[in-house]
Amino acid sequence: MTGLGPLLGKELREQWRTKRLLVVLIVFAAFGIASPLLAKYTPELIRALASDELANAVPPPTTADAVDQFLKNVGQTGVLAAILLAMGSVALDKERGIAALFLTKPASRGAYLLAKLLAIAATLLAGTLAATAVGYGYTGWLFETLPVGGYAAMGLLLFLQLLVYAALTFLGSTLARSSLVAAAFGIAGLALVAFIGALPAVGSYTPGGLSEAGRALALGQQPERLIGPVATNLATVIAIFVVAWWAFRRQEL
Amino acid sequence: MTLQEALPLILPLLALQLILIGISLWDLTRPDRRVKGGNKWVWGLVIVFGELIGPLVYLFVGREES
Repeated sequence: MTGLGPLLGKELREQWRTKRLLVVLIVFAAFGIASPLLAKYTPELIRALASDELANAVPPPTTADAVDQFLKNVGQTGVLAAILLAMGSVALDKERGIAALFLTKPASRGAYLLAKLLAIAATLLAGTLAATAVGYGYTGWLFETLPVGGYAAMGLLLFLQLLVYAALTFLGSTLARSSLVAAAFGIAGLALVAFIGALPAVGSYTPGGLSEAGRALALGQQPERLIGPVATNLATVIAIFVVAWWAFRRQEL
Repeated sequence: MTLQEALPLILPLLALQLILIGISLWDLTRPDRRVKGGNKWVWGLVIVFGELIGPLVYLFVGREES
């Protein structure tokens, strides 16, 4: 992994210079605020606008609704951000011939790839932490104060979930010469993961399974499965990186 | 809940949205900025009417990096 430090520094500066880090922080924080608000006031809005019969059928909002909204909104936006962050990471460098330039310096191909993936992970982590912090504050304000450790653990599990989708798109970006093909690879990966997630025996080991565990932890409950899904998803990210590295080593740049 | 009660809750969200639109429009209107497809007006509409996702898509996909 020769040259990892300087390459990672360059990638992190790039995330800041292109305003990607800032935008991810703002968008994630906005969804962190919006989720408890939606959970709290959507039933009130329906009651105000609907007929009496329908209004009576709407149950009062609960803290679990706020956590569900958070996981849904930040999860969906996060997947989009993960794909957008990773799609051009390697493919654009190859398209413009920049990758070959970097690798003429004393830097290994493994370090080049790892620096890119770590910078994407750092941006996603920063965004997820921002969303988690404001989501926690707003949930406490509008509903009840949840255990801070459990809520933070939910944020970290959400981050791991997004990292899997980023890694899948990153693999596409490494294999392809076009960022659009990489995005298509990420979306196909998303569909595949959703399909596997629907299978009864293995569903809880997919990234979607991490949401279930995160939900339970945030609400102060014991998740049915935790270590298995975390280990499986971490191993998936590492395996995807190894495949990307193996393929990249054999590519003509 | 009255509007006065709701405002302190909603204002940070509005502020974030405006900051995001401001950053994106400032970037879009730079004279040296080139965009995908070449039409800055289209990207302007994406930024302004795309809620939170519009600026995200512009800043990640819309710019031709120099």
